Amino acid sequence: MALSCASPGHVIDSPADLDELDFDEILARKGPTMLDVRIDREEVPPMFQAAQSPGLA
Amino acid sequence: MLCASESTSPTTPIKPQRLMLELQALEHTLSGRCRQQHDWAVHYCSAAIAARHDRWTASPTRRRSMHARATRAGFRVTMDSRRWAGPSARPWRGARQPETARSLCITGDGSTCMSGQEIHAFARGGRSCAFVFVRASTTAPTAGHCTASAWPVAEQIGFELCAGRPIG
Repeated sequence: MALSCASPGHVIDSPADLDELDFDEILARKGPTMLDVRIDREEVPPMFQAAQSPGLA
Repeated sequence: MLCASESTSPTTPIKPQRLMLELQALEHTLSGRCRQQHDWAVHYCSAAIAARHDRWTASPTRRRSMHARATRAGFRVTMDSRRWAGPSARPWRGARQPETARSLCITGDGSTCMSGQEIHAFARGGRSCAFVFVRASTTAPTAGHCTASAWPVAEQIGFELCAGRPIG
């Protein structure tokens, strides 16, 4: 996707990958930068947690 | 409510709670789109602002003051569900933020095609913005909204555009 947009891209799988990013450089760069962050899909968004609470179903 | 264990979790894949807290620690303008990313960002980034100013029990007046202070400090959160997220991440005319303010757009894999158009516009204009694709892939929040990741489709469209081939 980043290649198709001729923009730099980074894949982030782990917290270590995130720590290695130089956000000063990324945010100062002329043009967009894509960060592909693969999150833990088992985590439920907070608002869905609230909706699943007893009495709110 | 912030969960300390998840927001500092070193596990792989990265916890969305940790991602949001890491992102809000940067001084930039945040923008969010899409249901799930919107939910993560509005919950954890807003909470982070509150935590930063240590006003969990503040009155509404104090919270407004807190938000104004965060804005003056150059930290703004805009959350546009199902709207263009990239432009809202950029400082607008008349805003307190300078044009050089750093922008970061949080989006998801359910709106990749939409984001692709935005990224092309940013690239053509030479405007800086980091697009964070929070990818949970198949975890569609609601039936009928996005039942699978749009990422492969957007990727294919992008490559075909680059190759100059007709899309179809």
